[in-house]
Amino acid sequence: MSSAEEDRFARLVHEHSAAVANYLRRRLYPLTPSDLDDLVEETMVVVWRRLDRVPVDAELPWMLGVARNVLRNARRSKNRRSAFEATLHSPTSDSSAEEYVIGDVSVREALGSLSEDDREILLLNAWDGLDTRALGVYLVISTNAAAVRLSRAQARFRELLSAAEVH
Amino acid sequence: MSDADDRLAGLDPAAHRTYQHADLDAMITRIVAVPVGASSARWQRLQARFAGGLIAATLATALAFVATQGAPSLPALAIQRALTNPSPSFATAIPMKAAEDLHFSAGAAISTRAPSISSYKIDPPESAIAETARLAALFDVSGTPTAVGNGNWTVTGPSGAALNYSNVGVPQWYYSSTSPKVAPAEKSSSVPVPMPSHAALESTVQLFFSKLDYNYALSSPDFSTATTSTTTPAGAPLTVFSETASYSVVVDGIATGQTISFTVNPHNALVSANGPAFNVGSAVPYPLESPRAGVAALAAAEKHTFAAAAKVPVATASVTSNIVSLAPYRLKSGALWLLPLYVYSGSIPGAEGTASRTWSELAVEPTYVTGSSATFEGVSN
Repeated sequence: MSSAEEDRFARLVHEHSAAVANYLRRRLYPLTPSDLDDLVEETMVVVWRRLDRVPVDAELPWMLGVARNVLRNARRSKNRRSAFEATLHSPTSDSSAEEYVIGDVSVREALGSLSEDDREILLLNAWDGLDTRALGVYLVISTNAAAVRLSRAQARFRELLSAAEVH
Repeated sequence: MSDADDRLAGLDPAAHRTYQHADLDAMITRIVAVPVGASSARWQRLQARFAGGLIAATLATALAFVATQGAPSLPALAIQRALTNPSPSFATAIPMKAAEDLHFSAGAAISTRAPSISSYKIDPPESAIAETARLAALFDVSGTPTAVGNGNWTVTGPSGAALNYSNVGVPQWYYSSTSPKVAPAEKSSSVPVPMPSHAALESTVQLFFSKLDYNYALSSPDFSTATTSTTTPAGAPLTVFSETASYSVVVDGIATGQTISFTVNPHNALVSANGPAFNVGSAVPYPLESPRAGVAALAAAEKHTFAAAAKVPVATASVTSNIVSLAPYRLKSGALWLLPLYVYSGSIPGAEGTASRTWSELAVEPTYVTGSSATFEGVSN
């Protein structure tokens, strides 16, 4: 690797590590600071290995795509029963349960009723701040397709939210 | 921005939180110094800490009765959806898209004989409000249950102690001895003060678990300690030292995907606890497909997933072993069941080395389930 590549990698890390960390934090909770650091670092390891593939005009959504795979790997890596049981502790063992139980239950219910694809694109937009162009990069679809899918997901979410509050 | 958008943004788990890596420059130096293809020590540690969560399979079926030759006539399992733990962050349960089209090869250890493992109906408490009141009394939280929507309830005592009851999915209860209105905390896994012995903590657990009076069993515990630094609603700094015992809920010795945990302070006083609220109903002997047939189902599902995909790399997965667990599902009738699930382990050779992976597949014989199950995978490099 050349010095220019190392410089670019260093810039990517400094500019986007916070967004990557928040992406991870939104999808794996609770996370200790050290676990979060390790997940960020593993993401950056892949970014470094694939530096030549990072699109210059869509760095963050591409890196979030890497983070998605790192997260998947971390959550699904164990291959024995003991590990399976261990992971089952993670959602509740040290959670601030009140946050989740007293939260906006209608919103949570509406999100839970969305399809996985709708929920993914909705939250990428609402939480991670990806616009339709970035969503296209992340999902490997065209910007127009991303815009249509996002619009439909938002409409379905509002319908489900209304329905949840009627009941 | 609409009200719906505002409320959605309000649920963002990372809102108003800044990220400060311990040392970004040191991380950069470490990364660029590692040869391409090497697996990092941090990644290996991560593998040890994070386990392969089972993401629910989704089945869409219609209620019907089926009878196979030589087997008892049982109602078909008309599954509405699978249930994970009431995920604190449902976003963590979003299945990720696979990166390649997988072909599957079952190793010699994948049996062609189906095990005999029953399915179990879950009997949740008949009245959520009554159960909330009972649990509040059990944990000495005085107050009247208050509805918080969607069948969920909460009781908050004068001291700030709270008992919350979630009726979404498998019912869950949550007890906290402190006010929930605290700022996000930072945690470490060490404590600078003596903590209760594991035996003392287990005695506390047994005391409360017997009072809970649910008929499920617990695995051996995992213990952990923590120092939690946070702030009170008034803004004062607060540091809490705690020790937690976490258990997997097991039925007939098989893990169920449900957990229960109890956390105490240095004086062995309970500060928080949570777990599922249900009793295990009678066992129903739904026939299972063989583990090898389950691998074939994995392959069929993968083929279906990528039927319309283009430019997807092809990889061949070698499935080498499997275990059986129980996982919660909601039927279209509204009933909750614990159904057997195969959890497979295997590997996939790739350009960057061999990756270990896990997959899961509903183990119930497909003739008893109308529809087909989704499958899920995990990977480690």
